[in-house]
Amino acid sequence: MVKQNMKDTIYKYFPIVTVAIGYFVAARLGLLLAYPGTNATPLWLPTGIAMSALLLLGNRMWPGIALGAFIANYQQLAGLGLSIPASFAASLSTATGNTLEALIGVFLIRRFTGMRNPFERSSDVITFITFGALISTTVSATIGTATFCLAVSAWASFASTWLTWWLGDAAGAMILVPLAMTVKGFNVAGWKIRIVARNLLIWTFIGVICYGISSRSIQLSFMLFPVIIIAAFRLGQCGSAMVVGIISIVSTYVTVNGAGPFTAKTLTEALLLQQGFIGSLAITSMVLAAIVSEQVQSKKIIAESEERFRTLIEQAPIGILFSRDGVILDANKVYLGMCGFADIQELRGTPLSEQIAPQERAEMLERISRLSQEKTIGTACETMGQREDGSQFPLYVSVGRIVLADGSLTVGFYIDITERKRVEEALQDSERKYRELVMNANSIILRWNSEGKITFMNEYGLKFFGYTEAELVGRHVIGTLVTETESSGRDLRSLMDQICADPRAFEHNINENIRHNGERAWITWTNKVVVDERGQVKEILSIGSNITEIKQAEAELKQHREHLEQLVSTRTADLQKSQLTLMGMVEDLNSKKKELVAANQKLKELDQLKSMFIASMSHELRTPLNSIIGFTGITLQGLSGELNEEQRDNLSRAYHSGKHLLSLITDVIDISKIEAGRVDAFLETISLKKIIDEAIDTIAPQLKEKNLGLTVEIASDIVLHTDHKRLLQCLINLLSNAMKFTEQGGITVTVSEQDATVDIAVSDTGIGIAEQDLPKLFEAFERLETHLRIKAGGTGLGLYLTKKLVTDILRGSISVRSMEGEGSIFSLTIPKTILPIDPAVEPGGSAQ
Amino acid sequence: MKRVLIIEDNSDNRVLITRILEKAGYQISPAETGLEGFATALRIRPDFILLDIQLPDIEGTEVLRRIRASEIGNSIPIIAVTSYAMAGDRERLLAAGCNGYIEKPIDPLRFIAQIEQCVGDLS
Repeated sequence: MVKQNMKDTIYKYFPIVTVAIGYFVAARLGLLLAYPGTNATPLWLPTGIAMSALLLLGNRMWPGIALGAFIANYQQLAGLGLSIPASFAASLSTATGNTLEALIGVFLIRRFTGMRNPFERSSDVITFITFGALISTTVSATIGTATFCLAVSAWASFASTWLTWWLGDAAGAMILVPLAMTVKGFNVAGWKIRIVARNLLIWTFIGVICYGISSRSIQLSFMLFPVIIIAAFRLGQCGSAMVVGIISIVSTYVTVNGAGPFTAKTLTEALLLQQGFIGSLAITSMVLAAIVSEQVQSKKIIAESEERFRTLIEQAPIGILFSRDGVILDANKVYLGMCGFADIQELRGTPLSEQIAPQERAEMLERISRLSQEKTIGTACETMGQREDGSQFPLYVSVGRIVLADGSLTVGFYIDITERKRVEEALQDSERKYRELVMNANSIILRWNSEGKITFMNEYGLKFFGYTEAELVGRHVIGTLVTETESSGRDLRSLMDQICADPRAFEHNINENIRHNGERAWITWTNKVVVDERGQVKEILSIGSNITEIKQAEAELKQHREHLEQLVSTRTADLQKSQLTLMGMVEDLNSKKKELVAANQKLKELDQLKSMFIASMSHELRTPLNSIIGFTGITLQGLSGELNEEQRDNLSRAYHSGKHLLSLITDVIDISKIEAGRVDAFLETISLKKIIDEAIDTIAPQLKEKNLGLTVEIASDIVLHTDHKRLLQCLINLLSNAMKFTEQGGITVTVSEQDATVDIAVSDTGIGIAEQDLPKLFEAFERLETHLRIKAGGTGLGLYLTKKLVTDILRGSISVRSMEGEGSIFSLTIPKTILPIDPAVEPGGSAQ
Repeated sequence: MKRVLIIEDNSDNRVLITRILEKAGYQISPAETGLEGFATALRIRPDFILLDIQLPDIEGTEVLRRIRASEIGNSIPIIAVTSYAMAGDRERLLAAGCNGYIEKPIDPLRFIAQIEQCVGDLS
């Protein structure tokens, strides 16, 4: 403990003792230059030590100053031959002056410069010189000189002593304090000690040389000023302070030794001149060094600030864009990334407006121009941005104006709000959906709290109950939506209380409610608990449906059922009676139905039989006829030997009759098949020209026999999709007819093509048809002029069949024009393509 | 002398065709049923076959199928002679492997020419 205390004590008093020793040593050195017979000296460095000690180590160093000053003065005064008590008293007084001087000086410096180093600013340097070096030193000079004059009764030399004292103290402060206060920053700005020391040496050397030269003429001493100025720039505060200090010591030494530029009658006068000079030198050096230091400092501060803002701008999580007069100057990386630029060079110098989507530009420019007109600081809005690739995205822009001496800069903060917009929209959408759902739901939606107070009701509910929202929200359900007791007598208040107390137990309930107009309504409710984030019951959500009508219907139904049951029992007896009668009738009906079914079946069978008959007719009738025709044919050919004229004539008649019968049978069968709807078109794709040629080939022998001409007029061949055989049959019929009734002239086949149809006209120069006969022409077995029939020998079915074939199978039409004695024209108009028939669509029913 | 197999159940027709062909210089082998016709065809290997379609035992189309499936294959022309004069019959028979198609009633004056046209088309 004791050891510790001692250590503490040493730490506490060591600096004070050091200050005392330092002060004493400096004082002894200074007193060497003392005004003869006094303790006033022209260079009093202890003042510098005292002030430096107080500034650096604090005011508690004053005892060191006092002690050092006392001992030094005592020694000096005692050395001058004063008595011990006088020396003691005078030394005490003088030491008090020295100490006060330092305390007052430091107090004033601190008072006006604060706690900062007074040598960092030029204004503080002036403060130091004024208060620290010039004003506070008057205290010591006054007290010290007065004490001395009192002690040795030398009032005559008071003024000169005072002046010496004062100048010595001021010089000491000016030389030493800057040095002490700036020695800490000696190595700032990264200077190498070695280089600084070398410069120091060089400039001190130059300084001393200059001083030496100036001893020739006092005017030359001003050569020292440029040296000091350059030193202030090159060496900084501490360095230049050292240069000044060394020059001052050298100068003082030289002056004391009666040499140098400052010579006067007395040494003191010379020293005063020298001190004045050194003082101006020191002031110049100090102020300049401080200004340089300030410059360095402010540059550093600006650089730091610049760095800070640069970091701020680059690290900010939003896009930042600087522009001047609508032209982009700079942008941070976030902005470049946001808009898809790789480098700021792509953006610099381009118009600011290009960063905004074209449709939003006008508004944005308007905003920015308003900004500068109205002198407002900033504006913010949501707009659309445009990326480097032209794509657009929602953007939040905040634009600010930075007013500078040479105009104003615009700084914009840009945030890509695509995601935010999306979320917002999704939220709004969801909110709207929810709202619509709730408001438009065809159910009553009610929210009420555990006190029974209504907090919400949807529109449907409000309409149902006949309240407005304001009338209902905040009120208790009892008295608004429900009455205290139901019409059935149930206590609803206790039910509501139970629900409020434990809503989870009442997931469903049915109760009677009351509307604003007093009407009662039965509602089925589904209740759900809405909990807050702590799981506490916040509200009860109830969804209700009006079941009054169902309830009423139920009641009515019950009544009806009872009534019905009665009715049923009375009617059952009646019914049973009539049932018996009915059963007899039903039996009758059943037997009738059976007969009908049988008859129908028979009809169906008959129809089938008829169909089979028609089909077999074709084969069965023709087979024997084939034999008749075939055998008479080969006999007529003479294959079985020569025939006489009569035999030939007989057989020829039989042969031709057979042929006639065959064509008659064929025609009848064809007609009946068509009429029964048993003939389908067999569709082929074929050339019309080929069909016409085929038909002409068939009638060619007879044509040749009658010596008639035949012309075919066809522009170009036409491809048909139709029933080849039936069309051929029609053409042969028409050609045969034409040939039969034409004795001279010729037959012409004319083909003309329409869009979807083709017209085939067969015209002849024959006998023609009487006008009254034309309408009957296409009817079966219609007799025209008897002589014609005899001559032509037709079946009377040809044109009838042809018409049937054209209309029913080929889906065309046939017409005739004729002039009796001049000829006839039969025209067919048929579609080029017969489309397959869809039985479901075809109303004619010709398809099976 | 060319040999012709006539498969025809109706005797009138068979005789009529036989007479016409014999006068034209063909040698005739008649058959009254489908199975007999098929057996005869395999045995005598005629130069060509006239085939009725409506036969009492097996259909003419079946005879046609069997012949074409036998070792004869496509080597002997077969001409259908039939009164199946319904639309599409001709195409159906030609597709089944007939080489020609003559509709009944036959025209005695043109019959030889029709046959020779069918056979001639092949050679």
